[in-house]
Amino acid sequence: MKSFLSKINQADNLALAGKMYVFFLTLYFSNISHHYFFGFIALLIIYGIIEKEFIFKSVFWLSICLLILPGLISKLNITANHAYLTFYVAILFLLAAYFKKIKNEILYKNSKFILGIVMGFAVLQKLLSDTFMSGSSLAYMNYGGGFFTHFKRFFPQNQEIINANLNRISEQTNGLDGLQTTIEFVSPNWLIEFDATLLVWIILLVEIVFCVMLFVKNQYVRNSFFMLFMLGLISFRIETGFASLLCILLLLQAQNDKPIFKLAYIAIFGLFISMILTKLGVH
Amino acid sequence: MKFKTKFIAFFSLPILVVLVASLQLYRTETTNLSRWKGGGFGMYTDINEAQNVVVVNNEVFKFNALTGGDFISHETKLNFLLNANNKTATDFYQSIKSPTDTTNIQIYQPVVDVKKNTMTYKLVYEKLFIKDKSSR
Repeated sequence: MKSFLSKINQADNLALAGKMYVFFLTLYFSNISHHYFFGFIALLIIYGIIEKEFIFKSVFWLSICLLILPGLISKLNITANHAYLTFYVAILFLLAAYFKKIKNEILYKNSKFILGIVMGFAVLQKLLSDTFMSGSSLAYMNYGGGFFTHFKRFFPQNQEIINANLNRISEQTNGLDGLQTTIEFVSPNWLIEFDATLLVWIILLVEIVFCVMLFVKNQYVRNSFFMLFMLGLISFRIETGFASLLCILLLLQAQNDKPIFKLAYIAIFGLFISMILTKLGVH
Repeated sequence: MKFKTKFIAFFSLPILVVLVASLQLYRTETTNLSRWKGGGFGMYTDINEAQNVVVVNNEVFKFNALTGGDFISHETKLNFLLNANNKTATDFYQSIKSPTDTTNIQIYQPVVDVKKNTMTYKLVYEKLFIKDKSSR
């Protein structure tokens, strides 16, 4: 274990994070890029895996950026946020590979910037959304079984409630008359009563604390919070694509911290990847 | 370190992320663009517009009955649901190849009452197409 931690500690940050990213991209590129460029990205990834030094070269990351970009542009309004984040992380590695002398500083500072901006805008979007602030969007997701997906087996009654709710939605959306009626749901409860309005404030508080934690120097406090956040995310809503990229950024912000934290982020990343591979994740 | 190098290395990427997210935020506030898409990091803020219901000529439109090619039609569907405007509505209308002279296309959005645990739908977009003429 000590020698393994030592290897992680000595590993080049760009190499470590870059390999995690390439692994992720291998699974995701068909969702992100334009179909005209599938073949090129696949070849680039294969070349990057075989020619290990290629991952340090700016031309590799520039090619990744240029091959992802058409997919983003062609589906600007329907592309999910993890596609944008994939593009941004590729740019981050491009900058690190190009400015080799200061690459660690680039990776460290920019990863914090990106994490802060992502969470900051997430908070802002929520504050501006009436549907979120009233608890409606969270309640709707809960009615349809959007939360605690893999814990449903421990709550068989909830599975029945969720199925009944989904059937009600299906019947209501069968015809125009149905859309003009009001249907009633049963809210699944998880150990405690599900309170959507309370959950709104909990989520906002957690995301604000996330932003604040980026400035906390104490590595134990900071990384413990981030690890709990990621594990909470797995339990609550398994957004495996987006969370995998967050793991890469969290690894980079922890580059000056104890190797055990880096190992933790790599392990959580591995968990998310396994969920993507087994289709246990949302996507 | 030169200012230009420092700027590119440390500020170019965050500025790009902020610009894209700000633009998306502006568009969600001024158009029908979904908060979930477009790089604004607004997931879970609204009920995902993919849950909206499309009604064509007073009948709920079943997306598995599309007549066009699945790949293009799926994008057309998502563009319309996630960003309803004249262009996406027109693309959707052209893809469904409606046989009637006038085609009324509507989008209904779920509205949840958290206190009562109830849900209904409200009309959020409507457009009338008349064949061989400019749409109204």
